[in-house]
Parts: sequence; C-alpha cells; structure tokens
Amino acid sequence: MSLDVRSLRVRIPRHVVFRTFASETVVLNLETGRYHGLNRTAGRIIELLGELGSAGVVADRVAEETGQPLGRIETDIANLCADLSERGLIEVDG
Amino acid sequence: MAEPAPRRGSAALAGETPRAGAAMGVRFVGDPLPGLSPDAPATELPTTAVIRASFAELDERWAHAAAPRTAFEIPYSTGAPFLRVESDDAAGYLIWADGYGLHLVSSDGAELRSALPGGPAWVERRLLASQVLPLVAALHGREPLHAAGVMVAGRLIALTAPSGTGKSSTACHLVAQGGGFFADDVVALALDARRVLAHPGPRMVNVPESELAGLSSAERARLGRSLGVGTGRYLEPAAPPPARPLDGILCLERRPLATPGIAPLDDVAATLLASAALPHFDRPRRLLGQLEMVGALERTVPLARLRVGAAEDASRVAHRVRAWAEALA
Repeated sequence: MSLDVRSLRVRIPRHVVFRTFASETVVLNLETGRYHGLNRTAGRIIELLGELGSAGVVADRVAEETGQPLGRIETDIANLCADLSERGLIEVDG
Repeated sequence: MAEPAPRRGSAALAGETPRAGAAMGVRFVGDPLPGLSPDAPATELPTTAVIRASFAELDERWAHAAAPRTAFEIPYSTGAPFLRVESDDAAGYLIWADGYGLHLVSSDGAELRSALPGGPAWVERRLLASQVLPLVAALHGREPLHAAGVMVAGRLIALTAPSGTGKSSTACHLVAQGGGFFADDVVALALDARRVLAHPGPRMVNVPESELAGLSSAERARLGRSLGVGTGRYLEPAAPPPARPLDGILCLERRPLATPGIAPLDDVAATLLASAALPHFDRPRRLLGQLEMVGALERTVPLARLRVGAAEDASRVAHRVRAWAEALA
C-alpha cells in the first residue's frame, strides 16, 4: 500500500488502545486480543496521530522534534501507517 | 468425559483432609479444596463458593452451554487431548486434564464446582494450581503473573522465566537456604492505591529430585512434607504470608554463551506481558488491566534481568538472587 502522507488522515479505532512505557509503546487490539510493540519513535508517531489526525501535520511535528529531514520522516510515517493499517490498528483516509 | 482410571505409582497420603481457605487473593468457602492457606477472616478478599461435584454432574451442566468453544488445549504427542479449557459466555469455563480432575468455573468466578480425581495429593492439586485457581483469581480482577515468589531478606521477590530456565529450582533453593515460600508457578497481582500487591499461591512446589539430592536435612525440611512424585517431587511448604507489596521482579535468562550478570530490564512491557499466565484468557477487561499493571510495575517495582550461565546450578543462582534482594533500597 502506498500512502500520500500529505493527504492522509488517520483515526485510532475505539477497540485499539496504546500505552507508552519507558522504552516502548504497546498497542492493544481489543478485538483480536493481540499486543503489538512499537519503538519510541513509532510510539511517538502513533500518539501524535491520535491527537492530530493529519499525517502531514504529524510529519511536520516529528521533523521539528527530531531535527530529521522532513522527506525521511514522511516516508517513515507512510510506511508505519501502511503497517498499522494492515494490522487493523488504525483507519486511514486519503 | 469418562471418569479417569485410578492412577498408579505414588502412594496416596493417608488421611489428607482438604481445607477451605485462601489462595491467589481469593477466599474459597464451602467445600474444602486441597493446598490452600488458612484464611485470614480479617482480610478483605473476594469470595468463591466451592462445591464438590462428580464428573458426570459437571459434564451434564456443560452440555447445556449455549456456545462452548475451546479456549486452550494441550495435546499428548499422539494428538489426544491432555488438557483442555473451554469457555462459554454464560456457562463459564470448563477445565479438564486427563487424570487431574474436572472443574467448572462460573463466568464471574463466584462459583467453582470441582470433581477431584482422587489419588495422590499432588495429583489433586496440580490442575487447581496451574489453571483453575489462576483463572478464578483473574475473574476476580487479579492479574496472574507466571512467576515463582519467595521472601528473601524480608522482601518479596518474583522470579519470571521461560519454562525450563530454572525458575522453580532457584526458588526452591532460596527457600531451602532460609527464604520463605510465596508461590511456585503463579503470583497473583493487584493494584492497591498506587502500589502493587502480590497474593500468595497454593501450597505446592515441584522440584526435580536432582535438586533435592544435594540439600542438607535441614534445608530439605524447609521445603515441607512430600506430596508424592510425578515429573518431580511435589512438596507442601509452610503457609506463605498473606498479601504484601511486591518488592522486586527478576527475569531469569539462560543462554549458552551468556555472561552471568544482572542488568536493568529495558523491555519491560514486552517481557512482563510475555510472562502473563493464562494467555488464553483475553477478555478486554483483563487485557486492559494487564497494561495498567505493567505500567504500575514499571513505575513502582525494581525490575532486572538476571543472566544465568548455561551450566550454572540453581543453588548458585539462588545466592545471586539473594544478593540482589539484599541490595534493594
């Protein structure tokens, strides 16, 4: 799945919850009963996606926080969203 | 299911009278169950009513379950079932193991109907300890952690590890060396204000005979009376203390080329979630409770990974656990 981050809007479904720990974020799909682990960066991204909804805005924020090139961040977010969507952990439009 | 054939091998303990009481943070009332600790009436614990039943009665009750499904199953190598847990939203949970009994737990955990198999004491307790009591505890909101629990230097330490790592053997050596038994296979956790409370398990440990061979008679006596021999020797230690705050968790890791040592646990959530007992019990309330519990453990309880050499014996590992516990603030 190839996603255009600038037009992408993301929702966290009600049956998905996540908790952030010191070195990881755990995402729980209550429908499947399965846990998914994310590293710190991915955990921060999903947290921002839940707050802001717009993948483009999240990319800008993460680029600002990390100092990493925006293009690379956009690619990482697109790949992460594709993966999370495939696992049923987010819903995407755009 | 047919009544199991009488077990051969270990002699039954003459005159054992099962006692009602408490385990895993639940008070069991009514018909007595083996292996429980004396109940402390002043302690506020949720209650489960125990009713002794026959296999036929439990089979008849379960036949009326509307939509039973298999939640968990362990087969023999032949493929025939050895252990099965079935669930039904209204009828509850049916837990059976070949030769170890049949138990029906109500969906809210308030009632337990048990058909015990008779025979050696350890046989009657084994399924209770490994599956039934942890499920009852979980239904009452406890979070069962697959861990041994030992009182060491006045502190309650939980030892987690994949099966075969030496967790139970290490715990037994800690008890033999003067520590206090708390749990063999499952420590039931609960949140109390902002701290983590641990509830003791039933009174039974399973120790390989090879571990007992090197103990002095005094050390051996601390592990309690023998309940019989199965895959190892089953023992009944002294009754553990009632619920108390958990002081530390050590995750044992045994690898062929590992350099022995202790390091902070850096993948807390992944490790502790993997150590959860009863993974088949995946109601949303339990799963959310697990996340909350892991967060509380990370915030309030010292967590470390104890790397064990491939050939390192359990007695030496026990000494290292003791040293870590003694050094806790």
